[in-house]
Amino acid sequence: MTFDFMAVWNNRDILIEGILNTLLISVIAIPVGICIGVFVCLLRISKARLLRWPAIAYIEVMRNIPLLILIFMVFYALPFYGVRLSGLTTGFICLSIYGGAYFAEVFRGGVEAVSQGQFDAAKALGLKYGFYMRRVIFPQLYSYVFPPATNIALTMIKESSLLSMITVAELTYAAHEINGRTFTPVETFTTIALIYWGISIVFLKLTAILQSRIEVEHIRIPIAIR
Amino acid sequence: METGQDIAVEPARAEDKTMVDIRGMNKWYGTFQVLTDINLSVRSGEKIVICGPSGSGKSTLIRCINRLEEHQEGDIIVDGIPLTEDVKNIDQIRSEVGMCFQQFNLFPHLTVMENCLLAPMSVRRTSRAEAKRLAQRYLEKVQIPDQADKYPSQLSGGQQQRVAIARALCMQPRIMLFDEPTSALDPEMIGEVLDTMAELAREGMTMICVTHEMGFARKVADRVVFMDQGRIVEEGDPVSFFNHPQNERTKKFLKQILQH
Repeated sequence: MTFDFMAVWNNRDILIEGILNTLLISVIAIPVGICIGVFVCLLRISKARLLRWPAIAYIEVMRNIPLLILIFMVFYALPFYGVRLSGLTTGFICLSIYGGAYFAEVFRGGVEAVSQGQFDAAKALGLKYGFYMRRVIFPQLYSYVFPPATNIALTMIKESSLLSMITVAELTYAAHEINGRTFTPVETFTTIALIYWGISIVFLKLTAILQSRIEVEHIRIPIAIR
Repeated sequence: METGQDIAVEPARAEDKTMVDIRGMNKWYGTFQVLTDINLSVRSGEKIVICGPSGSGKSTLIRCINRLEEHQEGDIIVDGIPLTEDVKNIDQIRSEVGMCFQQFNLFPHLTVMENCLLAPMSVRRTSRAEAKRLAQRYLEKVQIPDQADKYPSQLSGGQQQRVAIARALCMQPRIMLFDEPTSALDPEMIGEVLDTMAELAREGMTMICVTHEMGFARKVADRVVFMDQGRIVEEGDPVSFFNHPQNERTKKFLKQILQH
């Protein structure tokens, strides 16, 4: 059996567009997902039921339905209610709110790992809620939530391949297209796998650098036991 | 919500003014009553030691004074401000009441100096320079001026607790609460913390201390309050409290705690 990687190479313009779209989706969906995660986490740990319950419902729904179904619902079902979104927009939204639920749970785990005493001391000093969450509680979470949050982000990058099902021209869609033109499934999908792998490696490297920066800033903190 | 009792801040702050006034206070955790009919009045400059067996509600009581715990019945008035659901009142009370904890609870990601700057700058809106000057002064007072740039984890337990005292003092509180400040310390470090507290007492700070240090209670306290099963069982000046306890439970407690 011979390998014909030239077939893939000749369609590199499709491939490059695919890579760019995958990166674009990730670069937008991950930060937005983190913001949603912080926000939902704050609701989730609130003492007020009116805030907490919607957050729980959101997290449960997102965790218990397949991402693909969420994508189909937004892309195929929403138009019946007059909301018509492009494939790419659907991708941003679905991945963000999907990742956001997982980020929220990781952040909540982090907040709960910070000892109650830290909250007590912050309140006793008269610090306001928003201020002490930002300056006292969250900085203590970084090193704790970093590894699981990295995992979620990585999953989001890879799960963006599901968007090929609604014809978003990202990497997996590009693979289908090249394969359709050249009928070289082995070469095409091997190349795609290697590209995903490369993106993941670079991403992990970047987060490792970011993590070490943060740890230098905040010194390594042993998470206090409640 | 307990509104209606519109007690304005009194214009005259007389010397023998009541700083903390707790009347008929009850508190439950679910259906379990942790505090029953608490009445306690603390005058300006008075030093109160609260003691009692563990689980008797001492910590819960002082944590109610700055709303770290919520009480369900009765009134708590701190420096003329009624403690209600009103967030404004709670904030105001917290900024006037300093507190030290058993586990110090310094912020581990901030240096000693930053720990001291945080509250004055964000709550009192003090300028950085002024807050720093203040912090330096109080760190000197607790005798750790040269550790300002270290992180809490680099200090001994005794030093950490003294930083916690300095951090609370930086808010220039009118009342200080101590929740078993020496219970988590190695024996050789207890003295330095008690000395700092005694010094603070000499300067006229109003203090409410939950502690098992009976030596400190004898020397420093104006009044000793004994609690058992969520009630104040006995209170009195240290001499009569230690020498002639009236209540059976107090006698038993003192016998156990003082026989070593």
